[in-house]
Amino acid sequence: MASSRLEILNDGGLRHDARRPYELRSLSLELSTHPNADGSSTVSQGLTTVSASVFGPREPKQRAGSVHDKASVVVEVGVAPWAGAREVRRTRGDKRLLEIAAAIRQTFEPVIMTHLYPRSEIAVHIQVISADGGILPTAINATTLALVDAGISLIDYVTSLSLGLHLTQPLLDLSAPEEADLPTLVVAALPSGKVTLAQMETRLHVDRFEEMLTLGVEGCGVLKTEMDRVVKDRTTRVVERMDKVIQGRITGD
Amino acid sequence: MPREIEPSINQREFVLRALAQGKRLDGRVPLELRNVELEFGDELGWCTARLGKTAVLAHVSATIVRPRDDRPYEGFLIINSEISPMASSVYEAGRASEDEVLITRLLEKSIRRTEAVDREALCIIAGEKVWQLRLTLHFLSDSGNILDCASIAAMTALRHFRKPEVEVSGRDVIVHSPDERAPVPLAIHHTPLCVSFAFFPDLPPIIDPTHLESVLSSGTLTLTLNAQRELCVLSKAGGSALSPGEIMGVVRVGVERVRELVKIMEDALRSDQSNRVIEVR
Amino acid sequence: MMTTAGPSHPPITILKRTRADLGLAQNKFLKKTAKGKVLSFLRERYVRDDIPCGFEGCDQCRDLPGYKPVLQKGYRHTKIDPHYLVIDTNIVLHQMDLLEAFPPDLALIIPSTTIRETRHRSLPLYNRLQQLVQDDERKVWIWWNEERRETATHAEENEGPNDRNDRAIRLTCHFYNQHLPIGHPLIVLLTDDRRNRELAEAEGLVCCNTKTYVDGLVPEVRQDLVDLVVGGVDAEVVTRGRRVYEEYLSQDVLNAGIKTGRFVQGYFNASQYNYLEGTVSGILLAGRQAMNRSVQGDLVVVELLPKAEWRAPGQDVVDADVDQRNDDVENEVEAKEKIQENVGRPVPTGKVVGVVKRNWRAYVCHLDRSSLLPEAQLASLSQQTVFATPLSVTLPRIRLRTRQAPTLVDQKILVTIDSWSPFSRYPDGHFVRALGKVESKEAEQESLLLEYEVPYRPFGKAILNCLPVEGDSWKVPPKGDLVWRDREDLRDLIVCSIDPPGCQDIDDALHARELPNGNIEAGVHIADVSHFVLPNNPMDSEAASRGTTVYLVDKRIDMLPALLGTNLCSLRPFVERLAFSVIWEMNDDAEIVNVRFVKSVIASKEAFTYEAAQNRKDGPLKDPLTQSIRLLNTLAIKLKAARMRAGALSLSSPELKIHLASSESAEPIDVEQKQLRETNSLVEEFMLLANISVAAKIQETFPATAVLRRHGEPPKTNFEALQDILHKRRGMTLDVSSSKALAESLDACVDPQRPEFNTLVRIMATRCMLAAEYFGSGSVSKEAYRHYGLATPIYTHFTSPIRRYADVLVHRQLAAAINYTPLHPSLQSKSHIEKTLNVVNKRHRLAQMAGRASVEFYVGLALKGAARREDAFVIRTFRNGLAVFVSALGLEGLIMFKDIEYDAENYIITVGGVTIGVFDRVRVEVGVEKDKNTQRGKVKMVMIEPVNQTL
Repeated sequence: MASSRLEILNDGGLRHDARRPYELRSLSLELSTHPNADGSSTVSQGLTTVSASVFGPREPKQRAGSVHDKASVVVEVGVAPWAGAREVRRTRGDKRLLEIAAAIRQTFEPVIMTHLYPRSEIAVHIQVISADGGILPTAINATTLALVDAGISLIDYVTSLSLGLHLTQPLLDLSAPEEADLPTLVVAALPSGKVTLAQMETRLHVDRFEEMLTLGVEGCGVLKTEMDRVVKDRTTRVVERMDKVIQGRITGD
Repeated sequence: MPREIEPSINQREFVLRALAQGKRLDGRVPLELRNVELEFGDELGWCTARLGKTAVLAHVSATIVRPRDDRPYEGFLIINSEISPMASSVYEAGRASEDEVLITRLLEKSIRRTEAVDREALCIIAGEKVWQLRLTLHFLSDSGNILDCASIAAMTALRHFRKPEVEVSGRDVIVHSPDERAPVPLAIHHTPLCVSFAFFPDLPPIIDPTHLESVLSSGTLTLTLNAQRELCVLSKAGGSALSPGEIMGVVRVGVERVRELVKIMEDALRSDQSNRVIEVR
Repeated sequence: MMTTAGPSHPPITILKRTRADLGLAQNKFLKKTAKGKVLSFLRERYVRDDIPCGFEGCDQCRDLPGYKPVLQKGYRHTKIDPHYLVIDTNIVLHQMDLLEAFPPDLALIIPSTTIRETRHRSLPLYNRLQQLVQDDERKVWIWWNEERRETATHAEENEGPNDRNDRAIRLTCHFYNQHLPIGHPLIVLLTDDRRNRELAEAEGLVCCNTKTYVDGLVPEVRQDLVDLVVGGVDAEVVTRGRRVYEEYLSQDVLNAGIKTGRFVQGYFNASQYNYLEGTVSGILLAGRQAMNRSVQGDLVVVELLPKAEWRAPGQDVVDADVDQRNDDVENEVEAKEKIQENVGRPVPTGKVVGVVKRNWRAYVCHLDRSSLLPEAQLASLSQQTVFATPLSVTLPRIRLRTRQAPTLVDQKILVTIDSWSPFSRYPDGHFVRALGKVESKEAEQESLLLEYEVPYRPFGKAILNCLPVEGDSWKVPPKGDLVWRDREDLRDLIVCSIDPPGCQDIDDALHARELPNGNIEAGVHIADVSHFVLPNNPMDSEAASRGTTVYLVDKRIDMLPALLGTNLCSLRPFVERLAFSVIWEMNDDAEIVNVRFVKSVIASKEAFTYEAAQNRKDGPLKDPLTQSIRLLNTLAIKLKAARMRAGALSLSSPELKIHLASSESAEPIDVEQKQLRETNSLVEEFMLLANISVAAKIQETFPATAVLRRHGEPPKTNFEALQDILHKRRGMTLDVSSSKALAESLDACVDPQRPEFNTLVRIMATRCMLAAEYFGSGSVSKEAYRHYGLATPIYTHFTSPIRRYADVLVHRQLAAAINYTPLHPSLQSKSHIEKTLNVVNKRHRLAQMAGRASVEFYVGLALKGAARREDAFVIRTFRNGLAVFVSALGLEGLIMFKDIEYDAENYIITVGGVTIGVFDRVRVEVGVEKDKNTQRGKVKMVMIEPVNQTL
């Protein structure tokens, strides 16, 4: 295990970036950031920024990809050269990127109501713009928003969060230096509290795991509330503006 | 990639109904593993693991190489695995499918990232010579859950393997042949093993799914655990959503199964060792 | 607010950053990797409003998390109004002794910048600072300045890291000035950095340097603190004109030199006999210039001199005290340094060109009387410069300034070296505190602990926090609790413990019973210390640095807090305790059929003393407990026989027991040798067996990192002298070809008339051996695992985890080997194991030495009243005297004669017509004399028979 001089949690109960254990990083959620896509979003959690574009439902690029009774989901993940992501190589065939892509695809396949779009394809393109820990959870959050933006039917929001354990203290939403030093769990959950994705790669005693899991689900709930607010805000604004336009038309000029 | 033919509706209904009654096609109860068999080759570090009809051959070899500049005290562990069409018709020669990538990634995470093998202990002369271990996995036959089987084969082979004794005098390294001096076992920190579960809507989960069962399932979950009750890797991507309680349930079952598996493995290793003359004390 | 309130933890919230904070949103820095690549890192940071100020009655901060009313009344000072002190990093780095001696009601505000920088610069000082902060008696408040919005800084252009830190600390002062209500105590910045002071004053802050600050304290306090100020309170340091030493080379030049092999890096080792000589990894440093300000234990860099300048090491004893008697403290008059031309083969010689790491610590010293001004012998309180002579001969004299010189003359004092300038012949230091009067029990005891670097401070709060909250009332929880998982219930076993009388830390218990198949089950149960001491928590780190419990005659310095040692981990009778059990199945010949290791719960049925167990065994009772002891005893006898057959040595070093009149008085009444019973051997055999079985198990499971103990085979040459003496004086031979041969020939060394003779030979043989040591199994080849003395191929220490740290490590490894707990990552790292065991080995050695010194001190006290006449045996002959061994006291001493004839060939001397040789019995008078160097009573022997020296 890397022995760095970074203090994960100091005596004042503060993390290296002055957060307390149960505080998530500053969150920014933006919708429709890419005009060319059918739906898009940019999500920043702290210094990790990921943007997602959704194309579809559309005709599959490859014939073989079409399924007769539901839509197929295609996910591709790229990392910008300046992202500063040391944990993944940027080459297309990198196993880790493929794994992230697979995880996102598998997470959303049962969440998207694919049976509504037979013989079509929904393509999600993820671009990691800057990386400071938690690429996968931020990418999942961005994908949810982009799908919502594209107007694709989902059974519910999927939100995701990473969390770690320092001695016996759980820490939520890890930054890159924390991720490097702590056992890390990534959870994605539905608002019902059911877990759609759980990934962990470092050794952790089973007795500690349950606490982490429930805490992760709880954290996902907090993110969902925030996401819901942003989506509704935006929709309200869009509706208001449309109203204005229509009003303008009616009053005629 | 040729898509697999989906099981027929009859088949599907039959399996699910049987499961609803707590029965599986091969006669197991839901939380029962298939029979585990371990077979050792003549050479040290050869092991075939069988999990029912699924079989994986693992082989460990060691060579001396130069370490990386930034890690002069560490040896290497390279995991090679290729799933050939021999194991099952779904696999294609050459290009690795997504499944294969995920299987090899999980194996790497389970064995390499959890530091199962002490890589510092592979150092011979810092900065100059270290051992490079090559773990090769041959997937002989896949009738489901090939990952668990591969992890058993891999860990057994690593624990079975012994590297030649070396002697360092100054900058020279003398490698003693096994006849001359007893070869030494690897430094293994712990024995992580994978157990997989399959889930079905409104039915209790099953362990060690066969190929048919995993195709029909609504989602799978793979755990890597060791006998010291540590969760090393947890991988659940997609599939039906589970409550934390359900996940904890299978984690607890997994712990017990892995402890059993480790015991089976240790017994097999011990009985093999007693039949083999490696060293005389 | 987006919260999901859970009862068990604070609500989960999202930390929203406002636009105004964006300037403080990230830190950017560069880092060089091991490969030499420079990477740029970006780290996020947040600023908060909920960092409490710690001021008593602060309305704004009272409800913030972590608030405590630490800052109360301002501190009184003769020149400054009531105030709080804010300290910068340099104060921590250089004035730590002063900080520790500050009165507890002097309120300190420590900005986190100071703490972080200290952590970065020096871990030992950081740990001392932590101790200070955690001390509840003191008024110390940490201000997280970089985390709080008002005091957070970001790097400005053209600003170095030091300037930024200074600015951050000044900002903290400003914050407090504004934040605290009107009429608050003054905020005073304490710093020795002149530039920082100027800037602070320009900004309108009150600031002060340490000298002025301490000088202005109220007299009572001032008096205690003045001497602690590094750099002295009044005198400005004058650079003296003459350069005595060469300057060190720069770090870059040193690194380059080491890489190319031009320089050699190593630890400086001063000579015991000659204060002008030292060695670094075998390279001789002759003369003061060559040693160039190195102090014992420093990591230095040496340049090898050309071969023409190589010299032979000296053979004479050169005493610093005699040589330097005339050195004046104030003036650097260059005394002619006579470097003698030594005869003999020249060895590689070099000179120190740089110091990588200083090993300076506090040293026990006494004032050099001769360096005191004559008039100051009277009680003058003026400050003067004096020399302090460390107890250890390997250390240079230290120059220090003090006002208390007259009162310190007969005291043992603690002195720290602060600096050693190239213009000064001696290092400069400061007085830390007085230990007490020379020869007083307290002072001697403390100085002994300091001298052998025994950490004896009480356990800090962070450590005590690691203990179970139930404290003394902790009990094994009822079955079904998590503690019971994978634990065997052995409470019904007839287990008992056998220890010396008065033993409080019972770490082992035993049982034996017959099995239905005719075999015998025997078990050793060791206190389950690793259940309570978890890896890497403060208690574990402390235990690791202590390494072992140190036993002095009248005091025990525990490795673990007493709650564990004497209660929770002590296998007391009649209570349930957690244990780690080794259980064997043995056949009638005490051969192991099967062994298993298991964590268990036991309830000891009786705590015997060796004597009581012996009596019980020999008595008439036939209950299961007695039978169990008998069974164990029979097995132990067979085990011992087998061990002896394998060639185990029974070595001897005299063990003494000091009877104290009462625990309070310092006067020992009597000295006697410990008595050995059959039951001693019983316990020993089973402990050995447990250690061996455990060693084999952990080595098998963790071949690279198992913690083992070995005892190297001594080189045959070590025995040559003894063999020759035995041959010439007694016509006996010693076969050292193997430990078995040695054991057998030692058995043959018997003098029917003198039973002590055999013991004497054994003691002498023991001294030819190497010391046993702990090691990680990956560090040496398998052949070197052997324990020579015990004649076993593998060995470790498992049976005393309460008092030896290595045992704690072994417990953890064994627990992982039986899949009970995961192995902590630190125990998987070979380098970490090696590092830890090096410390443990060192602590063991020092603890033994401290123990011996303590016995010696008490023997000295016992003899002080009345000299005793005892029988002694000659063990060595010299050109000018004899070395004798007094077995009744376990003491060795030198007897010097003026005119003697010395026959080196035959180990004989002739004094006044009487011939005395090695192994002869003589009668000596044992008395005490004061050692010049240590000011401690030292045993002195004078011969009575056959030559009476007292006449």
